Amino acid sequence: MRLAEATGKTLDEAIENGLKTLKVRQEEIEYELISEEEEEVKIKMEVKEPRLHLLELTKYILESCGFKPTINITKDDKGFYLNIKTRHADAILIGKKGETLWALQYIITRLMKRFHPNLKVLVDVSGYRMRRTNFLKKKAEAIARIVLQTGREMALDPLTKREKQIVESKLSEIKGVKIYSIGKGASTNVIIAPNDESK
Amino acid sequence: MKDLIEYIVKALVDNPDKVTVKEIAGEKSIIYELRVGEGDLGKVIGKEGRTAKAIRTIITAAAMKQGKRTVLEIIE
Repeated sequence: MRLAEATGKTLDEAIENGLKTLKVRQEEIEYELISEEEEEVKIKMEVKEPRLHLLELTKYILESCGFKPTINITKDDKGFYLNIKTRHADAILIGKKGETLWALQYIITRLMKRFHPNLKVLVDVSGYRMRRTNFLKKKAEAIARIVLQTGREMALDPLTKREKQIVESKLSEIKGVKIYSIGKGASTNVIIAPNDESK
Repeated sequence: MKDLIEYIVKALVDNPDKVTVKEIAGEKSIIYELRVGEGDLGKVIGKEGRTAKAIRTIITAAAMKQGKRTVLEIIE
């Protein structure tokens, strides 16, 4: 529901009522006056288009937290790519193993999906996720090659759940290796091993 | 900060009118007491606690910038 009609005694009151119905802030919407009579103002309200909405929402979240972000949004066939840059605060926004970045991604997606259910967005801070994903893919490929040559298992550094998924999807493109993990929680190690069945 | 918590939570629950956030500021830490209406607790906590965790992570990061600690208490 991106649309709402609202009424009030004054224009301000009508806007306030509309914002309450949609549960958004004024920066996130555009409105149109439908009718204006003495004791009743009627307006039509619509949530902004995805790119603008994304920008306003992210800006609001980060500025409320005391950051001064520069936000860059691009779009490709996979959806929106939102890159946040700050002065001296990028490390805080990424967090331990990307924890804070993950939280931002979750909240932004959650709030955006209310109005744009099919929206896909990837939140990033100073290209951290891009770099990390490329690095992991290259590393997985290089280690898989060594495993195939030597026929011996090799371990990767501890990875988070999401990082493991990246490695897994890369390795599924390479024949002759399999992946399994040992340990639990933060000390889970991912092992790349030769796949005997393929021989 | 208080406004942000209120904004996020109100967007997620069924009874936004019943959402209140109280800020109790100490010297080194800030406690946010979040109250939600009946039946809305699950919406704030989320699947496997993901929503609550995400909100906590973000306010922790914001507080870290000021060199403070935060606690978010959620009460129904």
